[in-house]
Amino acid sequence: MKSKLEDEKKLIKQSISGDIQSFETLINRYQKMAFNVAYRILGNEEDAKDMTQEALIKVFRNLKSFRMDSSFSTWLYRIVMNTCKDHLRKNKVKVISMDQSYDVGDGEVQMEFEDEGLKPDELLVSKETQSEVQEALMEVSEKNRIVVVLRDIKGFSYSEISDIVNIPIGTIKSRISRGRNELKSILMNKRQSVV
Amino acid sequence: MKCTEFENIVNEYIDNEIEDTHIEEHLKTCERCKLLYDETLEIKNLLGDLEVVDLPDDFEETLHVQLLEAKNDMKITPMTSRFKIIGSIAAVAVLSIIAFRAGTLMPLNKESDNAMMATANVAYDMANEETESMDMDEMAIESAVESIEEEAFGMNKTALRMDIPFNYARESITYFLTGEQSVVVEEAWLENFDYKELMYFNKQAEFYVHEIDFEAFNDMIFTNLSIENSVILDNSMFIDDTLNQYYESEDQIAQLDKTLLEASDDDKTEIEENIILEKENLDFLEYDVMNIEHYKGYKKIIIIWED
Repeated sequence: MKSKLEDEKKLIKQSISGDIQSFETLINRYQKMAFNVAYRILGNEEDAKDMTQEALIKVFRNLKSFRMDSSFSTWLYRIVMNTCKDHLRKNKVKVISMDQSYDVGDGEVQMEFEDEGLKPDELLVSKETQSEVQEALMEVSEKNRIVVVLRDIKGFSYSEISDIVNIPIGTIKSRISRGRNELKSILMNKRQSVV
Repeated sequence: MKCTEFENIVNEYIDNEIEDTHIEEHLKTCERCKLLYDETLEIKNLLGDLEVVDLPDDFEETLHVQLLEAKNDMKITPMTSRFKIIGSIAAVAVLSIIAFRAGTLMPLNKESDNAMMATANVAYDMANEETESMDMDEMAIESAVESIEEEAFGMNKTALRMDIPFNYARESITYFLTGEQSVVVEEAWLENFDYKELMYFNKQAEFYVHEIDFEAFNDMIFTNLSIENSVILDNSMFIDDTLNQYYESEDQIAQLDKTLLEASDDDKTEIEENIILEKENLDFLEYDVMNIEHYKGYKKIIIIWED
């Protein structure tokens, strides 16, 4: 019985020879999650759709240069991430992120929120709506957001993430840590202002 | 285990990237760290609980259209009439083959001086195979080109497993000569053209001709030599790709320099590291870009003769 991996290799080879149907079968198992990852990073479905499709076309065009002995998933996501990063770079939206200071006119102000260490039940999942979390996520600085999404939404390991975004594992660790802390602070701050 | 230690690894721990019984022990007794653990886990779960959104309704449809377009872009362009058909020899097929990134392919034959020749040979074989019994009229040529396209697109394993030295000219034309002639290319023939770097290898000659002179040069070749077949290789996608990467890298460095000025001390080290990486990338590309500039406007000509 053929393994999944062998099936995938066959689909890849057929796609390289121009068989679009094979390519569509090949990416079928990846496209939904790739779209979701893009959505959580970019913040809106339309951009996510555009960037995911753009990335998949790049995958199709460049399949010849894919090394068969490496992970197709990692390679595909690398292309998706680069496409998203390019898009973010070109469309710099001025979002005030927790990690940066911003200028209010008379000197710089550092955004700081005290971590009051609320009890666990004050931060309960059920109180947050999906859109609140997504909004808060968009306020997390880009580079941290990317790794947190890859980790907590897609479930890649640190080493897989390191492969995908081409950054050392040590940096991945610190970005995940900062990303989660940023998210925590943003959500707690929103909570406080509501109260 | 100290609390500060735990703070440093709490994220790795909840991600199952490390295991340590000391940690479990510590959490049993330390309320503060347990709280940190719970909060961090909560954030992780908040994200994990975000719903998985469905693909937009038209996603697959619109992607399919884009795939067709992409495939079309990669198609072969049929030959033009400037290549004369000689005698009963099969139709001349022109293949526009996307250049392969150097370094991603394995060496085919260590002895072959110019791996590009091997590519051309493979293309030549395929062209001959398909077109032997074909008519000369356009329709037949087009269908011949189509069937070659299926093969060429897949570019059989042999051709793929080659270390193609990066060709810096946008286009290269390979002429295959019939076996009868003993003289190949004489330097005297090239005198009137803007050409450079004439080199001879085993059964092949290579040089570069400026595109302004190409038509006249091509006529001259057909006049003086007996051409069995010819192949055009289109390398511009790779060249444009390299140039784009170079400009993007330059841009990125400028951006990073700017960010560096405004960055907090914490971030400075990381940004400086990224600048170094990006500059390495730029150096790497610089060599290619220089060569691209050097051959700008020139077509690479390869002439191959059989025994």
